[in-house]
Amino acid sequence: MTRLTYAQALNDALRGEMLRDERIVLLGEDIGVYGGVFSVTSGLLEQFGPDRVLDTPISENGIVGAAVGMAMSGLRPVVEIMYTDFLCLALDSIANGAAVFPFAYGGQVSMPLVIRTQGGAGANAGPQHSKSLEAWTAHLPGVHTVLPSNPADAKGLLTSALRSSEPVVLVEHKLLYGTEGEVPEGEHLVPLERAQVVRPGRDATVIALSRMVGEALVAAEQLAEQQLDVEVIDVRSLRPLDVATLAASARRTGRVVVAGEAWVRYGPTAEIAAAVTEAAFAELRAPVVRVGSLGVPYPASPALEPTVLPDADTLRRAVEDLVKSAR
Amino acid sequence: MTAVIQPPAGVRPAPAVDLMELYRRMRLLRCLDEALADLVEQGLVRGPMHLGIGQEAAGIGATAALEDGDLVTATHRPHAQYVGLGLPLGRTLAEMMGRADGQCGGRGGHMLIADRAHGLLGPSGIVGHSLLLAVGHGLAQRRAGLGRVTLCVTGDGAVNSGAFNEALNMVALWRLPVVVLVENNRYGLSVRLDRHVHQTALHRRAGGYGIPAVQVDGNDVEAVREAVQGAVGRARSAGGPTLVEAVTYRNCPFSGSDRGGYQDPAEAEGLTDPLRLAAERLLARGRRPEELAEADGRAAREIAQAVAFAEASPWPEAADLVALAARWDGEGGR
Ligand SMILES: Cc1ncc(C[n+]2csc(CCOP(=O)(O)OP(=O)(O)O)c2C)c(N)n1
Ligand SMILES: [Mg+2]
Repeated sequence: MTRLTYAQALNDALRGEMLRDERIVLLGEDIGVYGGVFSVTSGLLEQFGPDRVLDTPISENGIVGAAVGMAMSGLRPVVEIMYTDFLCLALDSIANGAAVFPFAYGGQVSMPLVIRTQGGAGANAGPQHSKSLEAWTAHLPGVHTVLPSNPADAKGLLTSALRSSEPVVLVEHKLLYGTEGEVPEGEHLVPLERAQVVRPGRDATVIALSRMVGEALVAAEQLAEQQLDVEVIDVRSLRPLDVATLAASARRTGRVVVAGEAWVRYGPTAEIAAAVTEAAFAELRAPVVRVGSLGVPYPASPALEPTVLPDADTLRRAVEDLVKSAR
Repeated sequence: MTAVIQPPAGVRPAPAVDLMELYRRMRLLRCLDEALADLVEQGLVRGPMHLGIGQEAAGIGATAALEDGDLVTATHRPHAQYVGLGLPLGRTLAEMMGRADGQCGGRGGHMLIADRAHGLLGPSGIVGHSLLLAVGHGLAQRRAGLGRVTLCVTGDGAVNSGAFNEALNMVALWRLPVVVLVENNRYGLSVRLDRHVHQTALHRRAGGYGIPAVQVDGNDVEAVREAVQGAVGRARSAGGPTLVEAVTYRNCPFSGSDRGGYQDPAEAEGLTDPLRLAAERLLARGRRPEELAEADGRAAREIAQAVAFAEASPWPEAADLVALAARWDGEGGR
């Protein structure tokens, strides 16, 4: 084990896999000379050269579209899209390209494509640099969408993505890059389809995504003082969704809160709540509660953003209310 | 590019702007950006912050060519448009600080300040948006037939967006009254011009769309103004779009989080600072140093007052957002 930040853990995964597999090529805006706006690709141009680390023009659909072609031609492209908000410009290449060709071409091509992007609010970055849009790619059959919440998972999920023959969208969080944690040295793989119980508990389950996992752990500590024993599960993979792990916990506690930063309506928490309800309806003691961002664009003002964005307090109150209302 | 074309009836001409006034505006902009660098450091302005130190002449020269009623679209680096269009700077700084008196009540922040009354509609933090908005404004202006023009500000990095190709074709195809100003500061974020585009003489691109283009010294405020004035005149008289490439240099970090290291210090050596260039020219034309010092002092005081106004402005109330969400989500949202 070694202590790394989330950004360093991602860098470690890229470096390790690039040494192992020459087909891996990185593309993205400001990832070469500058080493990435969040320093994730730092040092890789120097180590692997300009054929394997490409600084691209500001052409999101162009680079993801090109990466789809690269993947069909036998390379393993890894695209960095600086903000999830800019992934909107490349959705065509994902939804109509990466998700379609391996299926439609009757198995003649595989799609070993990794898209790393970064979302989330809390940095006062305003409505065009703060969104959580993971539901959009998670909606696509044939595309994996994973969200690491800590440095070890960042390394493990990215490494697995780099070995997958199917497209993977890895959604990082801007506020997590600087967070530190223990990370296994050398090869470390985390499966692309497994949730993880990060805190066992008996009274209620909080199913959380990305940065909300940390907030849920804080809330769980506060609730422990009220003699409420809360289980926290890190979803990690939005698609495929590990319903078995989520439902098993729901059956045990009977009370479930699903927490993600994205907007509640049509967001990832909606799908998770539906899946858990379908699988564990008989054992639920109350309807599944969802916690997400208030349904408005993210305002820039530090006075307004906290109203929109859920945090440990929002989660704690949601669990308290749930416990009161449950049968 | 110097043809003087009378605006159609109904267009209120801007008061003639001499070099002294252009200098004053550039100084105001420089003071604003310097104050903002401090405010960011003190944590009074949060989030991304894109200053334009070194590039003042391009934005100030271009907006000085507009008349009342024209429109401007801008980028993530929009402060030159804020100053050039005469936005009230107290409110503008309040917006950047997220306060209630900001033009957008704190919702937009530094790169999303629209001000319809001043013709700014608007800046956007998404590279390429300014081009697309300009197509829309141009269509509306052509339809209205009042001789209004849209100035579309964009960057060298943005010429590689799909939006650039789509917008340039549309403005050319429909002969829209749009002037595209490419602020070529030789970097798209950290990537040097010759590493992100093969044809580095960006104005040459316009030929492919069949539109006239001109390249100017973007640090010479009069040269920029003259080039844009010519283009605006053509647009106003139904002559269609023009592309103006203003070559300049960003002499400050890309944004608050810039780690540096990608610019070659030698690059900046031969450059003339736009304010120095204008000051030298003013002195050569007989202005006294005290007049310039007086303009500098006035700009500094104006910015200090604007900062004080913004700092005293209250925080916005969040209740509006809750009501909005209730309406958009329907019953049972968050
Ligand atoms: C679609 C999109 N992609 C990427 C970004 C991130 N980004 C913001 S500004 C910028 C560089 C823009 O370069 P240029 O157009 O030359 O403007 P400059 O910053 O030099 O003024 C980038 C890559 C963005 N805001 N929008
Ligand atoms: Mg630039």
